[in-house]
Amino acid sequence: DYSEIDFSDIEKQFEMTMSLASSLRSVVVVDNAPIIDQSKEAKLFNVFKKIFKDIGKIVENGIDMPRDPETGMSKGYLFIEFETPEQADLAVKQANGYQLDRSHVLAVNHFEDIEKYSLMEDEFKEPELEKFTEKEHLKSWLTDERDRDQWVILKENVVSLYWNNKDEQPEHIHSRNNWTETYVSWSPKGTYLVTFHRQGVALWGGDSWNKIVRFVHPDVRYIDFSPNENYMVSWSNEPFMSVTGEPHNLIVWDVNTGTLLRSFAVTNEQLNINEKTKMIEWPVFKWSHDDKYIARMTPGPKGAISIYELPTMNLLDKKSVKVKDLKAFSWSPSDNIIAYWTPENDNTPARVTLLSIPSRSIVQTKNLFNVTDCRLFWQSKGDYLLVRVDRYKKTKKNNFTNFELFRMREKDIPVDVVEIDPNETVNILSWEPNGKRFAFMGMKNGQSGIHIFQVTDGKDINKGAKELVTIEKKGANTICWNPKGRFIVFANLKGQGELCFYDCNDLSELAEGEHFQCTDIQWDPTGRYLISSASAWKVKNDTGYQLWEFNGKPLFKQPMQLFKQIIWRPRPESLLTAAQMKKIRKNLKNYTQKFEEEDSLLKTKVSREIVERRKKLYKEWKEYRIQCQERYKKDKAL
Amino acid sequence: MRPILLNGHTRSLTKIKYNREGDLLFSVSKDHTPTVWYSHNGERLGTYEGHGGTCWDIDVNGTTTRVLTGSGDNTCRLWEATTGKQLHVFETKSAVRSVAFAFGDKEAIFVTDATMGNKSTIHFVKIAENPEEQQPPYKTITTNEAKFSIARWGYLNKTIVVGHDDGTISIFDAKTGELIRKAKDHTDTIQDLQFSNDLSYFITASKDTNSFIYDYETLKVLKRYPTERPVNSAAISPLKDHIILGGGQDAMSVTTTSVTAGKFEVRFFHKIFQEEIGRVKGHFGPINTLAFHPSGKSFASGGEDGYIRIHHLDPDYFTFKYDEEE
Amino acid sequence: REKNIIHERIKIIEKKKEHKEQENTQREEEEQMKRAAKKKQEEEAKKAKMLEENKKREEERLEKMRLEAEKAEAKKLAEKLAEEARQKNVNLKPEDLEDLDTAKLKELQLKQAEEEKREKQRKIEQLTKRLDYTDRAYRIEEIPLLKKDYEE
Repeated sequence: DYSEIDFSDIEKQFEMTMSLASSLRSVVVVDNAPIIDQSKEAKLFNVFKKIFKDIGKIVENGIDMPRDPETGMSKGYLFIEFETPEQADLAVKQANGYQLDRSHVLAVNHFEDIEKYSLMEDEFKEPELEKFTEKEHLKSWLTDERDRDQWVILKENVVSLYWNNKDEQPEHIHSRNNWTETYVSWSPKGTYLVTFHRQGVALWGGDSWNKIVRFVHPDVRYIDFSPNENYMVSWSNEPFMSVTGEPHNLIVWDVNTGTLLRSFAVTNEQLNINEKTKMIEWPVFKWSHDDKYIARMTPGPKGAISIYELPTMNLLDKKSVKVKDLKAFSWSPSDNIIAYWTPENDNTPARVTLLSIPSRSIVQTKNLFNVTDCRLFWQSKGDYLLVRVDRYKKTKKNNFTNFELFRMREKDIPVDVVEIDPNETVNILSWEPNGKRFAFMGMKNGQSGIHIFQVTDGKDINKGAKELVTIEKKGANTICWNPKGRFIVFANLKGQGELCFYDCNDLSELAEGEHFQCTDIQWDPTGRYLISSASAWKVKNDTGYQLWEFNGKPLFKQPMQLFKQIIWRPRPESLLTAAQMKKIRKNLKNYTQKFEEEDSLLKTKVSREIVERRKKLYKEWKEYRIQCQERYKKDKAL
Repeated sequence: MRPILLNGHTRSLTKIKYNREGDLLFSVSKDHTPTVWYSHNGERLGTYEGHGGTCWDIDVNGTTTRVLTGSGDNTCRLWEATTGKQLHVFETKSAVRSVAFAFGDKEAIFVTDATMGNKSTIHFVKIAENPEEQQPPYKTITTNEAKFSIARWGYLNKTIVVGHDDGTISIFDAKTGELIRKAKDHTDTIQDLQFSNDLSYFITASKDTNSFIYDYETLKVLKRYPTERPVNSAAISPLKDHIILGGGQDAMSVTTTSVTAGKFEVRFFHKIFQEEIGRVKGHFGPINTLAFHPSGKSFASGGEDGYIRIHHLDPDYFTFKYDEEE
Repeated sequence: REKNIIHERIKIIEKKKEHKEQENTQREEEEQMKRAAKKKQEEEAKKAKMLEENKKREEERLEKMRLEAEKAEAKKLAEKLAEEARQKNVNLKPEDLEDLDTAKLKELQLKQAEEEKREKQRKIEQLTKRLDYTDRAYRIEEIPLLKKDYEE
């Protein structure tokens, strides 16, 4: 969630300087062009002149196509110089991804992006273009025999990747200086490492950590992948002029081909700017779970939800869904259902509506009265939708909250009301991943408590959900569910840094820990480990990270100056079927011995290394002491 | 065992030092009043009244008859150790940063800061048997480079080992005042410099967040103990192969919120393996000064919080040993 | 001349008398002092004895109170332990605890708490291993699928 990152520091740190000569900024590189001999050159040049006709003016003799001196054939790329850098910008934006014919999709990029360092050399060096190699195994990190996970660290200006080695030193994989200019992130299934640059976004991956694709979007700030990594939206604060003359900030990309699918202008009200932080609530466009649709909303009296189909990016049925006074919407994480709510208005009550896409049929609605605000919370499998409803009392003196629980998997989607203590102010709420429990942090008479609720089945006298436990945790300001459910961590971030590891099955605390002034906590994708970290973006001293086992056992501590970010590499869903997993669980005994042996072998190896190091140091020191004594004797004799 | 809290100073501690037998602990602080304590129970035995500024360093001679103190009031003072009687005042032109008796108690040095027109200087004095016959310094060593932050006598009083503001360590011939050797491994002020028992090596504490052990003879770095915070003091255990470090944030940047309460730790490292073996929490602010009891069975720490804590080490501490230690 | 001698003697006798008288007074004074001292000593002894007795009585009283308090505490502890035992379905009857004194009960309580802690720790360790091994087992079985997926 990048909306929480304060970029003002970064902007200062990465003050962008344009150092390149303006003439070279007018040059673009066109790749994936047909490979031809001299005789067809003039014809091809004419085709290019036509393509770029509306975009800009190519200077005289401004097209240069390198040839192989032996065969005389072209190399499949050429340079085009425009009259101005702006025209070159436009060429990149408009023509990148242009379908020349059936087998040639043009890649158009700024010359400076391709080979900016060659400028420093006297002799012109041919830009080294990425050759087509056999496609790398982008999921190879998942085949680690020890079932380890990776993380990326941004420290000062160095990006590094590591394997988690539990209580041992993490294993370094790869590092690069200035790999990103602002921050790093991962694609949702972990396939790509994302870096941010003045010119745009780049995705990296595979064992070689080579660049896989790049999206030119100057001054890009935020991105949002579709759940299956097929598409991506990027946002820049600096709009570029589209062909229609409109300033566009948003671009939707095809990740697999690197092509721009469509760009958008966004009005301030569509942006949903947070009044407190003055930052946009990202993402502005929201993906459906299956990458089929992307939707955005226009709030207010002329409210509408606009749904676009992928990959054409055409507006679904050529019209938006009109929703007067629309406040907020969100996709189900498992079905093409959109939930949205509208406030009370004259004669109509507030209403939560569930809309099926693409049919646009309403599958459920719920009218609500005396509503001040609603918040929509989907359970991760889309089994439940929980709506937090803030209401005012008739006397309008104080507000209270209750929940409306939509049971998505039951016939006709019944809605249950979950009442809570009317004096309770609800702050943070989150669902147990794939589970039936949710936790929220509440405040009552100045006392904060964490409440864990469980969805009841039909037989229970408690309709909807019942409270399992209230936990008093002084100072806790964050709740973080284990990705596998069951366990939860309550933390005090940006303060004393207390961590409490809690088991929601036994309703008992597993352990307590502390990471003084830690600013973030994050589970690994398997739910076996947790990292707490203190980022230099948020605190001055004691930056670094700590690794914990899910049960609260501290495993590894790494203080690190100028440490900024650490992110676990996400994992995609397992290729195993539920039945296969069940079988493995049933036969776990068959694996146990192997793992125990592996672990003890590893332990012996590590401890042997330590012992050897100590022995060596001890011997050296003893020798040094003997030397000292001899020195002393000599001195005495004198 | 619970630590003994020595409560008497009203401002941050600057230096603490045990006498040779370890029955007494001497302390100086920013509150102008050097103090002496019984180390076994923390009882205050007396104070040395007279200074008019922050006291930076204190030393006691080998027979516990004389005490020397240096202060920001531009004086270095000589006292009768057990009565607190002031015996002599050495007037200086700038603050006195560091003081040290020579082995054998016949001589002493004190270091003054550089000010306008005055260089950072080491002053040599002969300590007179009869205080009334006490003479002013008879010799000085000055520097044009980074100023001296601490000075100690070397083996057989032949040399003066000096720490500088820029992290340099230099060794001067005590007789001729010539520079014998110098090393620059630290990058910021040397805050403390303490010798091993036999004076063959010493440990440094630097603002650059590191602590090193140097060989006295060659000025080669033998051991490194990097940390994340400025190190204000470092001491070598006379009993085990351990060292202790203390430090924290700069006094300026310490947050005064209760959040940091009691979190400042003395860190134990294995001297040879350079591995951290433990931490002792307690102070409410950075630790400014550390000293091991001559027996090695306890140590004292003085903090920015104005407290001195004497910690007696647990029996476990003495029995614990790595297998690799023969 | 004789007169003189007598006079002298008288003088001597007078002197002797005086001396004797002085001696007597002195002796009397001394005896008086001795008596006073003895009396004082006796009084002090008496006082000390009284104090001693008071102290003893006070100690006895405190001891009694302590014993009573201990007994009450023991009873409370016993009840608590019995309750805890009941909750955990441990076979421990209140009758079993009746004869135990506080020290023994405390020891028992401590033991019980430690036992619980150990048991919890053991359970957590078991759980940790199970979760770790399950994930690793999944991975081992998934690796061939991943490789096949890539080849295709």
